[in-house]
Amino acid sequence: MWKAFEILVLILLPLGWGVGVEFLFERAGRKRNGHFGKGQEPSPYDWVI
Amino acid sequence: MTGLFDAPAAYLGGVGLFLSLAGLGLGIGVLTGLFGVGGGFLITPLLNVLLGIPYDVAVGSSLSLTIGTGASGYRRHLRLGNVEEKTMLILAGGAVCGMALGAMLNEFVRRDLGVRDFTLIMHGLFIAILLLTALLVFRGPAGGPVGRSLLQRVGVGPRIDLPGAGLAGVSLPGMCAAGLVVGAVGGMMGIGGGVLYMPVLLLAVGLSVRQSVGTSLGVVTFGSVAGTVAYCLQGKASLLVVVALLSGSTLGAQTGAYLCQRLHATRIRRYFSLLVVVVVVLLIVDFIRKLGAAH
Repeated sequence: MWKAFEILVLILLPLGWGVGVEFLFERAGRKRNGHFGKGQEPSPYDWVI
Repeated sequence: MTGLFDAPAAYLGGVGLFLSLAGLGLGIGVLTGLFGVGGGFLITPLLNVLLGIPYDVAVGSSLSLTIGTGASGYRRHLRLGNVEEKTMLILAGGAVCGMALGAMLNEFVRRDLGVRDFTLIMHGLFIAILLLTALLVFRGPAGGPVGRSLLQRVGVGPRIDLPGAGLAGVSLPGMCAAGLVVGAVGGMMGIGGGVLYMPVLLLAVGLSVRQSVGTSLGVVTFGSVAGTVAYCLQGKASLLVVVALLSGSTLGAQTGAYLCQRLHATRIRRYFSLLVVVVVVLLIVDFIRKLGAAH
């Protein structure tokens, strides 16, 4: 039971973080060279992940 | 096991370890904000070299972090129509199996060779993959193949059409095998494998650069979920490591974003390559140190 909970947290926590941080950056309307900032433009480095 | 700066994780108290991890997360977060990369390929070796966290735990925790960075990029590319969904699903199927295989391989090599030799092998693999990353980033991703792609020419059927990419007669077993192999490497090393999926999607499958990036992120996300589950079942993914890195990187990402506004894209690319080379040097120093200690 604990193991299942741990797996869920290890998946959902970074997932929520990744999507949440991007959302916050987009909402803040930061103008950047890519990634979060421009909202519509993907990062030129996405392929490095 | 000791880290490069003799700060072994075992000797750091709970708070000390958490703060060290958060500090590393802060640095990785700056990279996320500045370069837009997940950082899995840097987190895993740095956790081992700087903090002395065993590679198997570093790998499991790093894969968990990659879920977040992969998913955020995948969401963005999906919205922009950059994902070839059929390719993504087929490769993701292979990657999920590959990640489970990679986790088993990691465990097998560690048990068979012992921790020290296992660490040396992992250092060697990371040095190779980081140098490849530095080279690709410095030059920028290559274009797609001229004429028919490798998997259109390979004589193993059944074949499928990928209408989203305008490709016909692509070898299905070839795609599954590519996903499986890259997934296994990613599962062994604790990286999403984007840097390896790119040449596969561009040159072997024949997708465009934009589609390769978006499709790769989807494969990375699903593969990382499978890798996290596999390592967690082995008790090798640490919630403490993940939470500490995430808390640090939340602050770091904003700093990176601020810096990114002030730097030219070409300069950012060069800094990125330089940073990767610095990590390679750290790994080489630690490799030589451990090799010397072995004799």
